[in-house]
Amino acid sequence: MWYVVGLVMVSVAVLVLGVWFVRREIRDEISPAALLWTGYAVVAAFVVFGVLRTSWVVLS
Amino acid sequence: MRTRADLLGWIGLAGRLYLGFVFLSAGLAKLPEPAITEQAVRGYQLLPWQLAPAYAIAMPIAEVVLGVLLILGLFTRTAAVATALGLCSFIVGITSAWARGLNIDCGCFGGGGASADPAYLADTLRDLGWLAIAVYLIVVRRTKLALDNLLFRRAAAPVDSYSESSKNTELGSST
Repeated sequence: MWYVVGLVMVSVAVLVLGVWFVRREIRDEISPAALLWTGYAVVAAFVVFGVLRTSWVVLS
Repeated sequence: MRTRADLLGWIGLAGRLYLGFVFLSAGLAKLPEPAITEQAVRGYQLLPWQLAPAYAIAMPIAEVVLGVLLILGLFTRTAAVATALGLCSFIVGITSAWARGLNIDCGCFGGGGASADPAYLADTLRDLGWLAIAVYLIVVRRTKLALDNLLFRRAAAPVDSYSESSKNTELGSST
């Protein structure tokens, strides 16, 4: 149970840091905003799927 | 004249080459033995049983591709993001096996499956170290002797043209 709690907390922190990172890249005009947010969405989907799958396996 | 950006670039080159060779060697070690890799993947009991063969083939190929991209410095930041995600998945796999009380070898460089003496702590700390290098490569933007510097010279803004706030937040320094 505590493993899942920790995993969710770390994942949320990673996703929040990702938003900060994407906003910084957009502000500095490193890449187009649409491309960066699309990349973020792909990464976020991977993270959320991984967390859900791992949590389900660990708790079951 | 050496600048801070030069120093960060050379550190990035060292990290890129190190991480690249790690991934390349890990992929090449697993590539000729898909059956053993499949056994290692199944040992984690995380993926659906039917997905293990495809994952056992795709993962080493992805590791080789990422390793080559990092060594060449081609699409470095994208490769570093993919590398970081891969390392996160490895860390979750290892720590979840640890939390569930499984006794398996990580199979990171071939082998894998049941093990009487798993090294979860060492494997996790090692992967965290590699993850730190990948994150550095994402944040640092430019590394030395990278193909990116030749191919995308116009696309990437030089460090000197960054905004003041950007300079201050580069690598989380100052502010």
